[in-house]
Amino acid sequence: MPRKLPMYKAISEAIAQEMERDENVFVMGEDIGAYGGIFGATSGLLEKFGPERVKDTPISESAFIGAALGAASKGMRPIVELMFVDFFGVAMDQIYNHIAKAHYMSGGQVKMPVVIMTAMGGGYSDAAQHSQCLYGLFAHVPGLKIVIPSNSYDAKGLMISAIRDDNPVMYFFHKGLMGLGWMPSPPEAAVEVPEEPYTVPIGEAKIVREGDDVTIVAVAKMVYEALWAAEELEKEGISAEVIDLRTLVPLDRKAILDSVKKTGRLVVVDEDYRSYGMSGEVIATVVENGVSLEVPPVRIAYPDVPVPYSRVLERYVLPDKEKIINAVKTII
Amino acid sequence: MAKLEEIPKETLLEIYKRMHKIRTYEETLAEWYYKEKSPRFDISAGPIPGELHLSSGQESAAVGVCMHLKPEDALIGTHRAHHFAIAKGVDLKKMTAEIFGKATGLSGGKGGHMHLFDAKYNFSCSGIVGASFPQAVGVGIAAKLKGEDYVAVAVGGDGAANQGTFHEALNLAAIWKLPVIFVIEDNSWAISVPKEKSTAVSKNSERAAAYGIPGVSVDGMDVIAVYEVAKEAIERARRGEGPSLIEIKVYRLRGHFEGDPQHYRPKEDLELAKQKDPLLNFEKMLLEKGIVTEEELNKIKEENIKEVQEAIDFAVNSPYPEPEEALKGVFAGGE
Amino acid sequence: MEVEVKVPRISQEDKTGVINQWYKHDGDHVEEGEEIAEIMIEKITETIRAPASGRLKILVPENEEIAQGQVIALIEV
Repeated sequence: MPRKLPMYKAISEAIAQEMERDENVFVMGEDIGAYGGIFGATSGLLEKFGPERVKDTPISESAFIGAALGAASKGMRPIVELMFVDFFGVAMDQIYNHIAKAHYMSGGQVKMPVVIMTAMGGGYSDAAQHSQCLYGLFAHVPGLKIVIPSNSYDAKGLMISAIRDDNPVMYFFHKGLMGLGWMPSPPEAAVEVPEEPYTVPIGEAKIVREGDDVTIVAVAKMVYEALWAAEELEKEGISAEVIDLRTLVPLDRKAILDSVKKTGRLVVVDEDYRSYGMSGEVIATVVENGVSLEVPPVRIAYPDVPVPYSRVLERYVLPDKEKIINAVKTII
Repeated sequence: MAKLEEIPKETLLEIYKRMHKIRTYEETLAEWYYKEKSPRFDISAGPIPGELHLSSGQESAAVGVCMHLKPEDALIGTHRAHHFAIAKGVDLKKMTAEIFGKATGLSGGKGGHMHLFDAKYNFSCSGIVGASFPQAVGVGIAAKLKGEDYVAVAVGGDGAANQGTFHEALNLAAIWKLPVIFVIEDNSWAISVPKEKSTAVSKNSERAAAYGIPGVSVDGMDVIAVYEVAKEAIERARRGEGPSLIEIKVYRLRGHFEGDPQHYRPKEDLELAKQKDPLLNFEKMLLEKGIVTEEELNKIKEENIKEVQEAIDFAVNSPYPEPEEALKGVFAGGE
Repeated sequence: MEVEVKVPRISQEDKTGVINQWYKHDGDHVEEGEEIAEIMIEKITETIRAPASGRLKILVPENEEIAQGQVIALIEV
């Protein structure tokens, strides 16, 4: 029976069900056991499965993320959590030179069914080293699938898909969508979630609002900013279509193209840095496919500055509903 | 090792003053942190949003080390660094304004509590565990190349000693004989993971042997013991004899961050921390040995309370930065 | 008979928290072990399960302050 679940519970439920189904699935990371994950994504797992399959690690990311590779090479299906995406620098080599490339370099001999799960996003004054999104950085490297759920239904389905996938999948959750109570979260992110296991296919975007005048493409928390903007715009007679990409790699280019062909206008909303990232990729997709827009596309992205600490500074640079509304109005 | 009686009284009073100032500061900051966060704890609300990692209970590590440092010596701290900042001499008003996100802060509100920078006192810290060690090595290289006599202190928690950076940096400092002091502030917990479940040796000081440098473990309950051990390591570095590793055993009086219910922590462990309070212990020692009077201590306490209150007032009454400031300062030499 | 639904001890200190959400309405029938509420004390959210089967009588509404050990509901069995 479906019930409303916050995202953090949907994720831990997905992991628990896969651990029950497949004994090769196990979890490693910092504070994922006794604490249940700083953002709750592994809550209850230690009690259910014990410390052999739910391993609290030392602060040795190169070692435990690299270990995921070794375990996967022997048929295990490890899930590793690294608390904040900002922390990945310390273990980057194991991810982008090894986990991402092992299948290709080995000519397909080695499979890498690894899930790397991490928290992203700002908006609560955690400053430059705890608020980034950085999915663009990982999406840039061939060999890593990138999923970013925006609600609890997708969170559970994408986690199950990620665990069952034979490739490395980076699973990003936005802290501000987890429904933790202590971290502001839009209530819309906690939706009905079936109790039984199910999958949401990796690589499929979702049109979360249909419209005719403009396409707004977003992921994670920006999906809600886009939806709230669309509601306001409708009052002024502007019909916006909102696409939740849900997956960055592989990117559902068809969904973007179909929508833009219909609307002829494009706004991309991105909480990650503006340059060389998701927003540019979406726009390039449209341009390369020869879809002619009525006006040049617009990106509402994080300007190319580190995340500032002070609330007033962070609010100024963080994309939001108002910035989206203003952008749409400039092109209509 | 020197006895309490052999240390000049003004030094002892200065140690006490700094320790008490840190405690007063941290406990006052905690009160401000929880404003507008009750009954619901909302991390983004109140005058101090974001995470806050306080250092109550760990004052002896900071003061014992920093008593021997000059402004030109570098100190590179962790996400929990207020105690080292204060002990190093960082401007309390500007630091507080930074933590409140104000334009008058050390970095104009761009850095925040985990990213405090004060170039005048060569102080910096980071939110990434284990980041300090290699950076201190670089300061050591600069000292050697420039022929100057400053030293660098890198601080990390017991959790940070399991990072690759720790081991790589110790080796580098050792082979190049650099004036670096590695300080492991062992509070037994890497958030919720206890040291005995994360670290293969019982004392991180033993790891110094792997790099052929001195490694000493000292009880942070006794600030004078820390003071003596730090003195030896820092003097050794200044003499050009190379790096040392100091492990200081301290107890975390508060959670990892504010709002941490510490449900993972045995009740006895928190009780033990309260008994191992280095500030109370030092106060007791000073009074029992008749080195200071209650009046002298009270005078110091009053001065500290006043200074902390002035810093808070300064922060509260300062303006927020102009929002457009967010876009400036990514690169040096222009906007 | 009435069975008390208590806030579990989560924090090492005497911190208070809030009821995030009641999953059930006042007067609903609940089964033993069923999830009935989510509470939060500082940074920990915890699910409260029904200690017995019966009719739920909610004593403390959502978003109200709660203490550890406090009785927040009764179940009439």
